[in-house]
Amino acid sequence: MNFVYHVLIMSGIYMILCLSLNVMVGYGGLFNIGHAAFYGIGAYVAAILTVKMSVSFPLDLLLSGVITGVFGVIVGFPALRLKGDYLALCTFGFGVVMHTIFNNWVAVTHGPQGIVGVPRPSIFSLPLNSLPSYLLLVAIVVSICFFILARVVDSPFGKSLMAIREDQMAAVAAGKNIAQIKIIVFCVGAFFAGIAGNLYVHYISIADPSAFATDESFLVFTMVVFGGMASMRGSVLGAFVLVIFPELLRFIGIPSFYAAQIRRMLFGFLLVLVILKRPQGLLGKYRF
Amino acid sequence: MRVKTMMFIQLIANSLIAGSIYSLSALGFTLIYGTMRFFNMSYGVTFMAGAYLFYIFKNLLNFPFPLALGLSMATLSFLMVLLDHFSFRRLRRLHAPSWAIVMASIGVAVIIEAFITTLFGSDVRMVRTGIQQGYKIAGATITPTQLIILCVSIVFVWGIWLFLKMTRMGKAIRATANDPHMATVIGIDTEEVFKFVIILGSCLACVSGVLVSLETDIEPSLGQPALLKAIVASIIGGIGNIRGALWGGILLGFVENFGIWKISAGWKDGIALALLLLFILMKPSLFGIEEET
Amino acid sequence: MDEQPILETRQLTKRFGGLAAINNVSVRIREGFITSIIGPNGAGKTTLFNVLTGFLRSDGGDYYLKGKRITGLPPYRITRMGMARTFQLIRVFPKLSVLDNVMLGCLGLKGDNILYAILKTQGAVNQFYQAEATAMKVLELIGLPEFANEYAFALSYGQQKLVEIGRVLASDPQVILLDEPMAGLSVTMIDRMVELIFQLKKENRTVILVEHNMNVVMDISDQIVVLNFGEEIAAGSPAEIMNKAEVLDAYLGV
Repeated sequence: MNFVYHVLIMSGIYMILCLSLNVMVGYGGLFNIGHAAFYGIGAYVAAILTVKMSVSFPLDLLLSGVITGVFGVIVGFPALRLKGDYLALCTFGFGVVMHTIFNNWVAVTHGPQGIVGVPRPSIFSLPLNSLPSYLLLVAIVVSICFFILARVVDSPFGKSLMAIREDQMAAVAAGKNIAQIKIIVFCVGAFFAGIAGNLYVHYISIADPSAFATDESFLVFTMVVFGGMASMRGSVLGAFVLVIFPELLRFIGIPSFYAAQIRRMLFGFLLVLVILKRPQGLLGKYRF
Repeated sequence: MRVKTMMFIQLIANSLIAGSIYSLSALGFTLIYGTMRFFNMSYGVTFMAGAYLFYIFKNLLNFPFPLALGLSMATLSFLMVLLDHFSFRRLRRLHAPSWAIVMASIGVAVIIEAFITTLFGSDVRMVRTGIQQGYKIAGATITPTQLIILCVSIVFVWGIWLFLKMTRMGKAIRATANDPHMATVIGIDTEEVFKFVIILGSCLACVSGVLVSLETDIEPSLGQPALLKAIVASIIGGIGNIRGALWGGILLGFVENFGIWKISAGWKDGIALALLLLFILMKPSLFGIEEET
Repeated sequence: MDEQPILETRQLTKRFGGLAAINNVSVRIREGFITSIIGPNGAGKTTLFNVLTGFLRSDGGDYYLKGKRITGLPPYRITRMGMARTFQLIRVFPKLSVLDNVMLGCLGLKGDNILYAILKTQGAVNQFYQAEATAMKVLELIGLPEFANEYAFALSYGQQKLVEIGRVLASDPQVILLDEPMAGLSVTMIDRMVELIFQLKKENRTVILVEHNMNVVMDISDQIVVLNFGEEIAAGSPAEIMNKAEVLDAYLGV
């Protein structure tokens, strides 16, 4: 039963990651392959605030989001003048730089060991130590996240965002301030990734750099493509499916080292397969 | 000679040696991007796979160096052409947007890295033969292996240069890199050109990987920093620009070696990336050039 | 011209490397007129459009919209000030519906602001429905109401051109710049386009065309400006222009 809660909690966290990435990539066409950096920033902020500075919930959750959002703005600025592939490189580079910092800035992040002992948040001085209670928290946050982002993409703002994806020059000619929109989207995407990082680190109780490496960015991107670009429900479904199935691998009894590599191979295959055969993923609308 | 001066000269020597490998590697990457407009994110694992193939041929099967190198290049090229044929070529046919092709190459990279990790484990393997006695040249100590590295690099760069300049296929490659549409109009079979470019790129990646394995222990995760450095060096020189890739590699070698002097080794890859970001952002392109339209 | 021109350039220059694509051009466009800008290929017509709408930075001189200096303003600001344009190679939003395409031209929506989008205030929602209604009216004007929910990529070339104009009209512009609106159109579509332009004139909008189709130009223009090698070589009514030696020279001579 604990296993079920674990899987649900993790899929909730990945849902937030996928939704936030989808808004950037699927709706906005902003090719971000370094999303794990934002995930990690939120996680480390949470760890540092709660372990080293005794900040409590919900302030640390908010700060995780806000501080990561600021990083989103910072990354967003150079991204304004970069086209497609170069933007990907820039975000990829950002991801590697952040991972290097997580791994090496021992004074702040405790290097490869990570920051341990991150406590569960307490609501009304009751720590959420039980899995069901934490699942409830995650479920609430996921719902709020979905609600907000769904409204964003459905609005005129969201349509302008999609216009940017389709044709930037036309969007500008139509009177849209695309620089401002892109920065806002980077900020919002980063904000929610930071929230996901916060939830993750409070659940696992360790902030450890290996969870925020480039593989993680690719994984989330794969989930978004699989679920369907520019489909909010697709991201929810994609995250759910792609968190559950690998966990089921455990039951087949493969030694865990091989299981990890096989998991990676499967995700790699899935990504390539989806792109080759069904680029719109499960619930996406357009082929390319 | 004073110690500081000696250290300085040694750093220069190390920079040139490292830089030569980076140049070679960047050459392959930039060739692929310049001709196919493809940011091949599986270039890093190609590099790493080359090192492992060489390990198999030389250390496990005990073939002599040149044979092992040749077989590695041949096998790798063959596999990469096959791979391209069944995946990226299909995407090109479908006029897929660049994110799709780049993501597909990432998927491929993950598959290959995971596969090799499964086969060989994530521990390191050694191709190199242990500590060597170095020669003193102009105040720096250079081992025979390092000399080999320099020579092989120079030979290959020169070889590619000649190939591109003199042969028909070389000219076809340059034409396609310059203007893919016009190339088809004047009768060049771009897919054939692409196959060749993949072969050249794979060979360059392979050789770079092999050269690195002569000095460093290899592990499956070698691909990632290799990819980063190839990208950085290519971009510094102006992506698609051959001469630029060479200078970019050397510059990278210098910055890394002189940078480490003051900073600990753990930050090494971070430096490459920081450079990349700076260059992309400021985008001057020192060697003046192939501007992306 | 005694009244203030609605659009005016003064000594406008744009260089590409050593070549002056536009060289000290001073034109005055009268409000409510249909003005055509003609000239051989490479004369600088589209460059002029690009500079006027902020897509290219000028190298000298100024340009004014409704008396206000707009030199150096980015394109989105100029559109919001009431001057909108189409592109020579049409630019629509392919994977969005035709209705969405047109609605994206609407300006000043509360919902464009992300906070209003999240809060979804009644005001923002009402504005949205108004914008939708406006867009439908525009679709009727351009003759494509039945395609409202089709993806833009599914439409024909001529229809996509109309959609782009629809997007322009949705912003309620006073000055409309059409870059080669007749290019690539069938005879029927050309008639439709001409009708549309006359309708815009009736609504007291100023229309400026870059156009190569001389029949259309001569038929519909109130004013013609002739460019060659980046310089204005003639300006006037169609009758005046037709006989000017310089114009004939520019087109027939080399």
